[in-house]
Amino acid sequence: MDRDSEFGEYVDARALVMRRTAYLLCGDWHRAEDLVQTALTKLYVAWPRLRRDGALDAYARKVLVRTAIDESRLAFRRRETVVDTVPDTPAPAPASAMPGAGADLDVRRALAALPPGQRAVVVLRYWEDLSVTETARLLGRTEGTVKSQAAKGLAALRELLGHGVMEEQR
Amino acid sequence: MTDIKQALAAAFDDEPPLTIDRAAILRTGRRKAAFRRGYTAITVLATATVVCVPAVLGSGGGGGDGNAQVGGAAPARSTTPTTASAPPVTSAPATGSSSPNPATGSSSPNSATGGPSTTRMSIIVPAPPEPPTSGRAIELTALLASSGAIPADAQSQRYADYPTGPWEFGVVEGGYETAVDVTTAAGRGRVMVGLGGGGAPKCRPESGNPRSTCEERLFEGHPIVVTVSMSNDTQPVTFVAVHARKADGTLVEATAMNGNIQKTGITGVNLPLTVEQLAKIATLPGLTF
Repeated sequence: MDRDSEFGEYVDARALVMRRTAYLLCGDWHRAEDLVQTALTKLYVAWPRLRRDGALDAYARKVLVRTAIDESRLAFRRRETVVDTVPDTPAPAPASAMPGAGADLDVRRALAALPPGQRAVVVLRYWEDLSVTETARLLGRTEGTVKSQAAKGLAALRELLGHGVMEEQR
Repeated sequence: MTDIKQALAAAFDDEPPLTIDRAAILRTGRRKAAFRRGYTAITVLATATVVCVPAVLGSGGGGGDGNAQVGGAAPARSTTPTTASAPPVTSAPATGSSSPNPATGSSSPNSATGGPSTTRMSIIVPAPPEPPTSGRAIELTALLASSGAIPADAQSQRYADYPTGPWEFGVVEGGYETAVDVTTAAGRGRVMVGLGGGGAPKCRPESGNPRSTCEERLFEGHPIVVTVSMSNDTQPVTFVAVHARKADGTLVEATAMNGNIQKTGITGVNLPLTVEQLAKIATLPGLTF
């Protein structure tokens, strides 16, 4: 099987999963697809070496996470937008103050409230099921920092979501 | 599944269908891989030149002469983008353009975002309008050959790794594509032309290569997007891509780089095709699915 065929199969198998992770990291489906496409393009370039080393998923995840963090730190990626008119309705209240809001909206708002690094730790630890060591290696941080950020991230989510489901069971 | 994971999974309730374009990823990946190989080859060549030429010349203080002689094969070093010799497309920029003119290397803030001018092409595109066929690939090859869009002075060589001959389209991952090594009076390097699914091309803010620019323009009434990327080197490899969307939804990508990765060749000083020549190919009537 040639490189393109192999890569195509990989894309078909992994794109959806990668997009979900990207979405948790950035909170926007369109940007999530951009991130996945960026990651997959880089994966293609490094494909021969990665196939040899058997590190496809790890590399894809690393590129995805680092690209997401880099983007979120850039000023022009901030979500502030200029509008022509001032809206009549006030800005939405925090998720915890909106009992009628859907669970999906709650989670998205809560994740959006986390700093990028903390958010990445939460996603990697509790969505990707990476260990503290793996998370630290991927993010280039110490294990102590990862543990600390995971704890702070979970605490923030609990507070923002306003219910008791966020209990770590691992 | 942990409670945490279940809570996170709730964020996917409004998950839209996946629209990632595999063919577009492959095209971009191939382009970047070629760029990378060319960059590597040039870096090796430049290193070898710096190390070997003074030694061969063997004259004390002869570095200047050595460099001058090298200039015959590899041009004098400059941090100026090599596309400076490629004239800008003559038509006025399209409305909303906020990126620098790659031909002049100028840079200005992106007024829409208030951030850096670095932008990139969006490669999220819908599926091609028709399934590609080998018969259509032959027709496209004939169309391009008879169009006059290929410069008359172009000396074309088969790209060693590529399945089709010079300027011959083949069916590649749901689209059509050709790649060729070209030498013209303007310069020398690689040219690739690809047809894929067609979303409207546009520049978007991106956190990638700071030596990359994107500009939306009009070429003979057709909206095009011109992206220019350069390697971060004293003798930069320049990659220029022109995207144009056709009425049937076909997205044509005509690209050129001033690197030649064949073992027998070295990079040209300038791109083998100008931006205008690339735009002429990208907007060629009939170059569709």
